[in-house]
Amino acid sequence: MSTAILEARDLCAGYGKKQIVNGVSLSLNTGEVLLILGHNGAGKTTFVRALFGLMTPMAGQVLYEGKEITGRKPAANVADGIAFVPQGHGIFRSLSVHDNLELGGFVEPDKSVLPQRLEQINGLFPILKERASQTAGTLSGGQQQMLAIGMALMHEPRVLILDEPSIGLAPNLVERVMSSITEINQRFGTSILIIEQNVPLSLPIAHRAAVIKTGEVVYEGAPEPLQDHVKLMQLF
Amino acid sequence: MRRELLGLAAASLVAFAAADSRAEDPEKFTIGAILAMSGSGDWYGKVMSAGIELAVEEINAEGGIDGIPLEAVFEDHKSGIAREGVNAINRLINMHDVQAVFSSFSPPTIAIAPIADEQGILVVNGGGVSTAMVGISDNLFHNRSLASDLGRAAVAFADEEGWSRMAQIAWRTDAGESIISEVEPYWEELGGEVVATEWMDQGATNIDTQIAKMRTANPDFLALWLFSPDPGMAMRRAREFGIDVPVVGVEYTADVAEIGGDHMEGYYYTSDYFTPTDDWSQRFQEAYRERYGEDPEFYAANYYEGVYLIAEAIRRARAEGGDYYDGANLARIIREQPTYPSVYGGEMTFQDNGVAQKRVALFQIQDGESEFQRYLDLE
Amino acid sequence: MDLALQLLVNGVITGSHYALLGVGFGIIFATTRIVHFAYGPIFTVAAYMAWYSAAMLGLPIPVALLIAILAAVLLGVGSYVLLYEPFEKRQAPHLVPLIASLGLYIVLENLVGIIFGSGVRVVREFTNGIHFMGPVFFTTIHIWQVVVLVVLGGALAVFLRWTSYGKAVLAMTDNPEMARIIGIDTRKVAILVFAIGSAISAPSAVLILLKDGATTHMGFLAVFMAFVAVIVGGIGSIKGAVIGGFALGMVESLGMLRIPTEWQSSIAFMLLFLVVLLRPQGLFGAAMRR
Repeated sequence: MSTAILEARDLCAGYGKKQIVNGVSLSLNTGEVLLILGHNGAGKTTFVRALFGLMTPMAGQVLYEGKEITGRKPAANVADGIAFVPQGHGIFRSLSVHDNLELGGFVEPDKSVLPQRLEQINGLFPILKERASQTAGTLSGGQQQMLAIGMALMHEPRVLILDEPSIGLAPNLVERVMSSITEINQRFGTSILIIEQNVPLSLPIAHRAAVIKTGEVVYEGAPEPLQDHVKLMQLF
Repeated sequence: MRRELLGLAAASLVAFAAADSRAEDPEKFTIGAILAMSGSGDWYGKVMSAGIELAVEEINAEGGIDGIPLEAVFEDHKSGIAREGVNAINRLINMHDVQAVFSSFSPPTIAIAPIADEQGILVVNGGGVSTAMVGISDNLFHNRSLASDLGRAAVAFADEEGWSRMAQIAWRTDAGESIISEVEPYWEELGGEVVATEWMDQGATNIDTQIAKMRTANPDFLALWLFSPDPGMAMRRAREFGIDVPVVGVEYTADVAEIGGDHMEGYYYTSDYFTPTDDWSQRFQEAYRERYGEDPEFYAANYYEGVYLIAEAIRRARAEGGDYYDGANLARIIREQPTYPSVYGGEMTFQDNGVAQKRVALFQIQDGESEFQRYLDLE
Repeated sequence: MDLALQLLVNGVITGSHYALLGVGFGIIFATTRIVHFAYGPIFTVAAYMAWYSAAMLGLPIPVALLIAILAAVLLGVGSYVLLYEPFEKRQAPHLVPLIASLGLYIVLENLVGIIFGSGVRVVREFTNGIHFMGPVFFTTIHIWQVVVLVVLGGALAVFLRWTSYGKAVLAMTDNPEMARIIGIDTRKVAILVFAIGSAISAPSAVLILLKDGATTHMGFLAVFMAFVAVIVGGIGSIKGAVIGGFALGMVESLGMLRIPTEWQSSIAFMLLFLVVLLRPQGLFGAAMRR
């Protein structure tokens, strides 16, 4: 029986007076890959931003390893082992690849472990070692995504949250990214919460899946049933 | 019989009460003053308002004008912004119902002239120097020498000294341009040559380029067609950049001395000159010194004198009777009776162009002090 | 030729001054996206504090400089914490801190006038030495203006490149949200850049005090030139601010070699317009992210 490493209970969040996430309860179990699907505007991004502390929830709770962290600032969450890769290439475009990765380890108190982590990440994404001194903004889309993921891994997070990592990438690159995510999960045991729109390529890597529609969870369970198009349409 | 006596007594009481007051008398005479209360020229606003306040206090201490008190209301044209001057006079008219205002700085004075004509407001300028102000309104009078008069006196002095090559620097404003346009032909008539003409923004501190260009032109003397505090800046820069020739200007104030410091030594300038000569000028200097802790210079004197000018015009108008308290009427009085006591000594007389004629004096800075040299004659 | 040389030297000197102002203003703008107009009057306060310390209290100039820096840093950090940050917390649109900054500008400038009075303030005890090299004249303060740019600019470059807080600044300049996501305390960084930017403006202010004297409105030119230098050089680029400042200085001096000085301030504007038209991101700026 796996325990929930990250859990949302009746989480409500929104912008100004407008509430977008309406009482979502979801758990990410230790060591699993949880896939969250949903159409545009369903509230997936708002949900994870509220989880991670980029927004203050309007109601509900967020628990991490059993303790409450509702609304805690990103800096504290990062230091505690949660990493977030935002939508649209979360990198520093004007800095070099190497500097970007180094910044990923900003909160690491013991800087001496960083070179070793860097090696691990270079092993995962060899292209980053090749282009270490190149300006990040000049990398291709897929490379930038790998860099973003690499940055998140620099402080050895126990939980990794990814918001649509496949957006704007060609299918073969998407496969590459998905297989990297599987590798991260299996090699480092990182619990992964991933939001996606590309259903066919992301379902295979998920242990469990959830569907959010207009701010509410309408499905939570095994990923296989969602391969059925009809069922998917009903839910979306 | 008793009723008639009572009626007579009542009538005479009323007549007695009315004898020295009229329906046309306002509760108080409010004079507006549109000055540089903020911005780079705020020194002027400070001393001008000081002169005005002192005069108003003195007049009120003597019972006001025919028993009616005087009041001054100050407005800010932010160191010479025309639009602010217009806003100011409109506020003064609408909120205080003024019939006379003081103006200062050429741009706002020029801007309010049409309003003065339209609304019949007397305007007295004791500070602005641009020749462009002459003749733009029948209600506008100046009790200071205009820049062109000061400039011509300056080059007349240069000619007397035998200098022929002039490098000049002027403010890029009405005042600066008016000096150059009047002085250049006069200088050339005297046989002089203009070897450099440079321009600077009012209050600019980076004039290194201008100074460098003037030095290259190899002049016999520098002419500073600038006003406070810029002559100090220009003099300092000139000496720092190795210009040794004599320098002549049209202004010298405490701020100029402060910025120029020791470099001001030897600086010549032409100016209206306030120095205590007779009774009134001495009393003014003492009263000003006691109230403000420093001696008055001519800007304070002009505006102090201006209050008395307006007060006297009101007194003369009131003596004529009728609906006397009207700006255009006051202006007519000044045109028809142009001679008034001057705090400089004796009297001043307004010419047809609205400018009160005063002699131009030449000064030189010697040992840090401004030393009067002589009066200069202009044709 | 002599004139050209003199104007070239003038351009380097004024360029250094504008460059340093641009760097100080620019680091605040690039990192926090706040148009900190109050940078101008804070510059003025620094000059007046130095004047008061040196001329009124008789303290040596280095001490007066330290007091000026302290005053500038306090006011700069204060304006962030007390004025801009509350607006940021409420997620107000970017226009709002700009307007608040203008308000602060007016309040501070008037305060200086009320407290210190109008009229220029100089430090009489200080004599500005005059030097010449061939046909070129310059003063001691001019030398210092160049030195200060080199020293402070260099120190800042080292700080940004080699210290962890410096890299945090660069990160936040590039992508503020991402900076938060990787765990940078963006509030601390904002306070840091306000402190650094304000501190940088103080030596410039003191040098101007010694060279020209202090006036209540001296801050206008300081923030205006800083702003133009940053726009011309490119927002987010320290190097750009320096280049922008030098471009301004050169245009004002060497640019006037053949052109009548009547056009001096117009030329600065024309340079600004040209850059904004042809290359809106500035000479070295990256395309703005928001």
